[in-house]
Amino acid sequence: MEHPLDKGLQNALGVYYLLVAVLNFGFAAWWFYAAKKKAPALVWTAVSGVFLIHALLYLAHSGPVLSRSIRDFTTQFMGLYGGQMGPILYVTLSIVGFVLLLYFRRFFVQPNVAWTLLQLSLLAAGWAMTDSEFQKIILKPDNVPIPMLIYSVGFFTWAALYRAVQNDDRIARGEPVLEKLEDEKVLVWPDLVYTELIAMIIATFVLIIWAVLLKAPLEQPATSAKAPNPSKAPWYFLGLQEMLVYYDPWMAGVVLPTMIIIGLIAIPYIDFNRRGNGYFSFAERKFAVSIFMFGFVVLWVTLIVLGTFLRGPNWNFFGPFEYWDPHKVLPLNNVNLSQLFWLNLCHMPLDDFKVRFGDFLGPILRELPGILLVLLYMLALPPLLARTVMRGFFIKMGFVRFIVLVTLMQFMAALPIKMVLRWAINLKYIVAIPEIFFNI
Amino acid sequence: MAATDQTYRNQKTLDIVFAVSCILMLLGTLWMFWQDYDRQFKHIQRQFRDVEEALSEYQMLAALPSQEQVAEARNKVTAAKKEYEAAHNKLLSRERELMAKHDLADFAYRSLKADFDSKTSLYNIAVEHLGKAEEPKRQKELQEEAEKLYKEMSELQDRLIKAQDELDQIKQQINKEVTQPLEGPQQQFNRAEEELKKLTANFDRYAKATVQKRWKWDDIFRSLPILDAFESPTKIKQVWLPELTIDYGGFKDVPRFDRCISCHLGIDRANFDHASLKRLTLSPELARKELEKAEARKKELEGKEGSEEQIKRMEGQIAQLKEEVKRSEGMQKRLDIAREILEARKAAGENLGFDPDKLPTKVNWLKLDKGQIAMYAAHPRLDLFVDANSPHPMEKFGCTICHQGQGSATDFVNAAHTPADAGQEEEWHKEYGWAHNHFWDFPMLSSRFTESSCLKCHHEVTDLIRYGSKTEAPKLLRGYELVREYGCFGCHEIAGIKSGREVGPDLRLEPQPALAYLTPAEQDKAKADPLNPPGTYRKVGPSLRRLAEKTNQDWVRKWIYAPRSFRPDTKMPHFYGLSNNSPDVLHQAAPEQERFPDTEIAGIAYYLLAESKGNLEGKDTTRETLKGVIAKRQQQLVKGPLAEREWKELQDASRRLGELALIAVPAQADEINRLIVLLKQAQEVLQELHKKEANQKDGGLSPGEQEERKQAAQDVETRLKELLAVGQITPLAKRISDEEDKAVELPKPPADAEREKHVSNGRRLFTEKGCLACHSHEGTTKPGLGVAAAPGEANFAPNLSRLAAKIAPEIADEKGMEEAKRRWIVQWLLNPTVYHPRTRMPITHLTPAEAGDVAEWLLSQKVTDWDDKGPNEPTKEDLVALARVYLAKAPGFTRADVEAVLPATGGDLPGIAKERLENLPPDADERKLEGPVTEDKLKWYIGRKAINRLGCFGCHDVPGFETAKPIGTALNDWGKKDPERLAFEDADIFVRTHYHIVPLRNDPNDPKKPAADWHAKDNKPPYEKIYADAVQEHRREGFLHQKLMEPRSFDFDRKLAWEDRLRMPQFRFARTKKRDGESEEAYQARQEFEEAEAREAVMTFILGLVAEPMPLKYLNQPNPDRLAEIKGHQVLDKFNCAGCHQVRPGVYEFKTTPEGLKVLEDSYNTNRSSLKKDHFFPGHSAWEGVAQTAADRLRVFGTQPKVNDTDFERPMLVVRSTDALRFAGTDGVVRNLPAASNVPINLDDLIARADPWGGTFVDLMIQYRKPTEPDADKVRSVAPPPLIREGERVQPNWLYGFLLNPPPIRPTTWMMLRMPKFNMSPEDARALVNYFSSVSRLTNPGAGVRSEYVNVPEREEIYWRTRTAEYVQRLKEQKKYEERVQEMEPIWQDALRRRIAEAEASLPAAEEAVKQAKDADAKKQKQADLDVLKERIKFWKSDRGKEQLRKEWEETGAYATDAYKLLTDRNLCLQCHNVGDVVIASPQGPNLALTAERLRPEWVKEWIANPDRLFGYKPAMPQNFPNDTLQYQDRFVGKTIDQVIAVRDILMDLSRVAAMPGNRSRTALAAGGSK
Repeated sequence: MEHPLDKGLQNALGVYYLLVAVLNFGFAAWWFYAAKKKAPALVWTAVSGVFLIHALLYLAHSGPVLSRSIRDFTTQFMGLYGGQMGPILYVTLSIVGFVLLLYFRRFFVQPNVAWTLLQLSLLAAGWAMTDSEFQKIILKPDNVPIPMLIYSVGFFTWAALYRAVQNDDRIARGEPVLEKLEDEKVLVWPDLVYTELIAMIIATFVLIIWAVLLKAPLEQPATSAKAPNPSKAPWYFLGLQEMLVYYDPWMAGVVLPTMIIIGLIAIPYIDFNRRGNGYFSFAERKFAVSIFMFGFVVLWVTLIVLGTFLRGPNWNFFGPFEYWDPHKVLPLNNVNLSQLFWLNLCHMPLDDFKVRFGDFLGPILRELPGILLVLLYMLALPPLLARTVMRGFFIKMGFVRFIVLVTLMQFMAALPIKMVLRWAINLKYIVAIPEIFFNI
Repeated sequence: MAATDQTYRNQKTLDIVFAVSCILMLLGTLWMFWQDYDRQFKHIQRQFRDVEEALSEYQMLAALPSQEQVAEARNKVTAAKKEYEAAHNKLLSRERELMAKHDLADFAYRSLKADFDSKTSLYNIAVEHLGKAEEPKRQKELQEEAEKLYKEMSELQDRLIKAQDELDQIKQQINKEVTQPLEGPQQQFNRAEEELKKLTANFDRYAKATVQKRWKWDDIFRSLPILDAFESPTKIKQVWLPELTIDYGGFKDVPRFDRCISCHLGIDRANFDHASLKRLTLSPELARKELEKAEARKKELEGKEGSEEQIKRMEGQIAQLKEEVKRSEGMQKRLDIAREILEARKAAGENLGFDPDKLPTKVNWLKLDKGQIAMYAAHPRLDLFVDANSPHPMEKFGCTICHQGQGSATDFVNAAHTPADAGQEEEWHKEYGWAHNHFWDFPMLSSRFTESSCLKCHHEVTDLIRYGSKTEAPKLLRGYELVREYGCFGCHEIAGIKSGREVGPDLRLEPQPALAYLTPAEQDKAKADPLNPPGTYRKVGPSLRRLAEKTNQDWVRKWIYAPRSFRPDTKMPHFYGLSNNSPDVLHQAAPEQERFPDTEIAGIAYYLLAESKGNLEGKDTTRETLKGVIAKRQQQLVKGPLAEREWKELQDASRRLGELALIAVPAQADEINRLIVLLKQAQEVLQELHKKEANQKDGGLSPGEQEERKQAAQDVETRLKELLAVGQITPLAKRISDEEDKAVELPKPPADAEREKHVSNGRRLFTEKGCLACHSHEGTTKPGLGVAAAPGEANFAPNLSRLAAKIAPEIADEKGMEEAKRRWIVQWLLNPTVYHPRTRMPITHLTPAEAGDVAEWLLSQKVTDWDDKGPNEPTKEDLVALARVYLAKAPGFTRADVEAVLPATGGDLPGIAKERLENLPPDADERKLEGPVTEDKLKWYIGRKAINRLGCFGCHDVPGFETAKPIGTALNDWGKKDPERLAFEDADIFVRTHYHIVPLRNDPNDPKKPAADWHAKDNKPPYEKIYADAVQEHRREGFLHQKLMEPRSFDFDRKLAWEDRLRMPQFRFARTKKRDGESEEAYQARQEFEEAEAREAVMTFILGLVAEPMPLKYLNQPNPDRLAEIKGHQVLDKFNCAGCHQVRPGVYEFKTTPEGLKVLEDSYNTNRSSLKKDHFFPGHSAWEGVAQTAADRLRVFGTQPKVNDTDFERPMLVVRSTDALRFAGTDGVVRNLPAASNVPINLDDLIARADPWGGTFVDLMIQYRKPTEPDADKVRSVAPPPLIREGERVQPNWLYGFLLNPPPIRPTTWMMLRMPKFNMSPEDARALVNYFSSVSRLTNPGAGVRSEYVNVPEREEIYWRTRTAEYVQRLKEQKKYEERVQEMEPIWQDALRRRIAEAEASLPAAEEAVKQAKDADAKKQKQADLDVLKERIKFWKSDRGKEQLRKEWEETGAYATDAYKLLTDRNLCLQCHNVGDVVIASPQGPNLALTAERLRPEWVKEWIANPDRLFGYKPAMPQNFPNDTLQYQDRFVGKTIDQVIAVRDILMDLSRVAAMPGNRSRTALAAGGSK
């Protein structure tokens, strides 16, 4: 029987696995020669062997194919709950993973553990590539930066935590941090300028090669009559686009991005912690590091990945092995809070408000529950926090800085909160006054 | 910490890293440049250079002169040169001497001249000064000086003249002693050089090109990577088309850049044809290999049966290949010779303009595959496209405007090429990684559909028929014809207008009622809107308004169920038994709908019959509804003014009632229109007066106004009644009428004994009277009943084979069914517009008795091979179930309502309650469901809903759907529809599971035949792979193809409610007929094949509908004559004129080869004898051929093409020419082969062939009459005449009248049939008249058809006077004058006697008048009259009377009298024609009295001179006045051409001439019959 994968792909996968095998072999060699530990060296040689077998199989054009049942299962599983299971799972896993990473950072930063995770992801990626739908999405020239983004963000997160854990230990032991050990000043020439020059050249080279190998993907000419489906923002804005699922364009496109920029500008002014400057540390800046990483890694990077790989035509969620069928329709039966409150709870028709209270007061009264809730969230939460869990912050930061910090955090938290509300009670808008394009 | 000297990183390592990164950067940059160098089009351009070189080389070698000839020519040149030099040498010393003398004299002359000029100027200045000087002294001084100067000047002048003379002398001497003696040798030398040049010019030119095209160092250098950015030999070539913008979805119109020529480099070079390019690759080895292959293949075939044809083809191929091998092998030798020749010439010191050393030493065999050859090849139709002199030059049109695709792309895939078939698709995929590019919305049209684009500018479509019958886009035209024929526009709007601009062909339905039935004012109003002018197309199906008189419910049900089962070649499509409603599909997918189709059919049949019956009784639903509304509102109106809404309702209903009357009884249009106006007026008066009364506070209306109102109140009622009465159809049972709408008696059925005679007569009439021009009938295909076979295959109108089963009226009166059947057929034959006012069936002029016989025969053809059961009769439950589906969709009806009205549980059906009814609009269909509901009511309701859903009214006039709008998607711009907006659904799976997918449809060896594997397999019909792929890839053409093939398959596997199912019916376009002896499988395969081709033709048309507004200058805007031709063609098609008449001759284009020319010369020589007899009319296309458009080919127009293989060495196509052919023979002498010659054409030379258009019926009759009349031309003379040259023949006014109401022209006793009267509008008739005159102007400018109005000078006195003077002169010259006078003497006397007698007879009356006159003035007047009369009698009685007659004769009579003798000569015209009252026993031609009104004078002259030349066949009319013999001088003195003209002159003024004194008496004499 003919192999289901075409030869070109098999060759490519063979080369891929070969590279991964060499990588592992190098890692084993490092253990053996540099770290002088035989056990891990042996293990990684064995792993390298596993990849080598993969490589050989694919080069012989008879490599394994991810089983149909696994692929179908993922598709079906993610399609549960009216197609919401996918995003729920994805976001939940990324948040849980994030929390675990921080909590068990000592475990995760061990080279062997991190390397294992890396190898598992490479193996999974290799297997997934045998699926044609997955392949199509990964190999789309537009999407190439994203795997690079995933692995580079992963690496830098690991590197930072690795140093942070080491430094924390050193601080606990009363030793100077690692960065202090290399506190020497260096020369502008050659240490700075020369390396910059080299970096420039290499970057240019990489860009040229990239441009030659992956030609600019030319699609159809722009027309006002027809939008491509899916219509996607440039990859770096896909996180923002994902917010459009949950928020009105006005919020997702204007207010929240503005808050992000303001927040980033505000960081130096809010940050009152004098420790942890100029060196990696987690224990000394638990709050700052966690919040920033949550904002950047979870709410920005993972949403970009979600938007790139898992959002298809009509911005529907598609499992990684699912065909992007433009005809797929998911139930959209989201309701506004006002409807939940007045109609479902109090059995009052919504259209009645305008009739009874006029065009101005009517909508406001109708949306009163939502407005109250939002006001409660925005106005009542900061004092509450100041008195309870964040009492220390309030005392140290003073009123203004505290309020700024809490408000920024509230905006950041607004997205996961809205996600949960959407998934839990199909909430569309908390406040919905389409009459004046004001929806929250 | 302080900075240290220590660097942070190892400097050396950094250096290494830097070095490595620099090297990488360098490599990366080089790679980038390589990428640019490696671009596809650059490769192609580099290779093309080699192709150019090779082709030049090939052409150089083809033009290679023989070495000896060149040597000889060269020797001649040298010899001549030597001779010249020798002669020159002899004179050299003398020449030098003379030249020296000459130069000296010349010098002397010139210096003298300089002095003279100087002196002259000085003198002039002196004179001027003298004139200005005032002092006498000064004057004197100056005077002296001037005189002195003058003297000197004169002296100089003398010397100058002398010097001049001397110089002249010397010049003369030189001329005499040197130049003249050398002249001879000089000329010799020039001639020799010219000769050499002639011999080598082409050769040299190509040799030079070869050298130039070879790659040289600088070319290679310039095309190196990086350097090729500057002035490279390879660069993008493009055409910029700022006006032909690309429309990116309404976003922006972007100028078009077509870069196709960057790769298609030979596209505009005529010599880059496929064959030449192929030859460049055919090296001796390859040629031999191909030959071996062909031979092996032939051997293989020899064993097989039935492959004779293929073997024959193979043999031809092998012979050709053998030649190729020989040619290929000889190439190297030729190259060597070429080099030798050139080297020799170079050595001889000749300046060649290039270095022959640079020629290649070895023949350049290229390696080009099929694709590369196609890429480099020239456009196959340079005469039409690309070439700068063609109608579509590349610079103006570019490429993508026709071909589509992405013109700005520079590589194969991005250009969006589209393969023609699956084979090519596969090839491209392999070779170029080609895949369908869905990012470009308009991929290139595959070669199948290239013709589609013609529609962008050729909106009339028939403008693609270029000259004669030659069609330039046959597939598109066929598609257009099919769309017209099958009436696609009935459901799908095909409007050629977008916001007032023409954007495509306009095929819209005509308004209902048709314009012709409206008042002129309304017609003008309808035509006034430039944005939406009225459509012109009639519905293609028959009217169903009177269906009950024609057939019955049972038949209608069977018919709707499966029309093709009753009539296999019907145009009516299938609505049932399709992929979404056949019983088995429904059984699986929706069991509850399984019985819906049958139920629906029963409903439709019931509705149609019920409504048509209602129509006949004046009680159809629409009429009743409108009547009700009008009556109700009018009652209100009588009492008081109507509210705005009610008034509108009344007006609307009145208008609709009027229209209904016009649709039903258009014959009464005038009366109906009058009544509509009156009714409207009365209504308006009432409304106005009521309003006025309401508005006036005091008093109210004046008594007059009150009276007026009272009158109007009466009027509205009576007018309504009258309108209803006039608009009421008269049933056939009450009255049948003839063509003039006079009632006629239905002939009685023949008695049994007589029966067979009548039936036989009926069949004969059916065969001969032209029915077979449009219809076919199985019954005529075999001889029988004493009538010969006439196997006609016409399908313009329905096949009537099974007519007897269809004509079975539902309503038969007491006279019985048989009578009703005959009645319908007889009425239809006598005047079809009674039954169907918009039919295209003409009035056949049969008598009622004849029509009765035809009916008898038609009804006697019993149908035995059709026993369809038809659909099942629905039960009440079925009806309820389906009615519930529709009722649930009715506005305002809920499920509970449905349950209440039509409970599903069965039992009695309560129906809609009375109260509820009142709330329904007056024309709601649900009104019919008023309780209690019967089955009939349910059927009616279902039928109406179904007709509404299926759109039956797109093709038929269905009662109750007068205002319905077409139901289909508009096709105006379907060709550019976004494929994403097409609902493909699961058609892909349907295609893959329901068809046998075949890679290729056409046999690659013979594309006219199906491929070997094109047949059904496992009961699955064949399906071409390219379309299966197109469906899978969601491409437009895939959708369209499948939509036409199985229109409902897009419902496949979908759960759908009944009313949501697709509705488009399934058409069959090809009408394939089984051939004798064809196996069932072969027939089916052929059927599928022909169907696929026809389908593709329809697709070609539809894909061309893109509604792109083109700039005006790109639209085809023919001149008025051409436009008239184009439009006229459509009308000819509309009425199938070509069914009977031959309209245009065929066109045959062939290459001029010496052999072919020889045969033509022979033909010319054999024709010489006829030329002697001929008269010659210069400029007329029948005598003088036009210049040919291309130098290397000839174009012949002719009829009766026949392959003749007995009279010639090899089979020749012989045509009878209709136009003279001008050609230069092998000797270069230009000859004119006149029309009516047999032109033989070598079949191998034939380039294009388009056979004559029309005359199918005549051909059929020739076949039919063959047993009794073997001479085809004799049959032709009694059949419909050819219309070739009709425009130059007939007068437009006459033709116009004739078309609208044709009287008999030729004796009906002689002719087989008579021109029928078509249901034609004046516009149509005018279009035809214009067509014929325009065609004449275009094809025969020399015929003198200059305007639409005919000038007949022969009716003017001055003309006759001139002619008579000439003639009398001639008589005197010929000494016949006296003789004639003597001859006339008794006639004059007789005339005088008669005149006197007449005058005297009127005397008493005149005298009486004087007496009777009452007053003085009158008396005086009468008296004067009487005096004049008396005076006259006196005058006539005197000698002067006779004298005056003689003078009259001499001034105006002599010519006419003698000419009249010719006309009435028993041996001439009277042999066949009646002339006015002079009648003969059995006339064959038209009465010549018609000529004056009917024919154009020029044509009559040419016709009498030589009838043969002007007709498509040899006419019965003989050449009475051959040019080579002088005859009839006793009748008319003059040359033969004078006699011809004389006869013509008389014919053009016959009534006057015949009444002249001499002629009146002669009439009797001639008619008396003594010779």
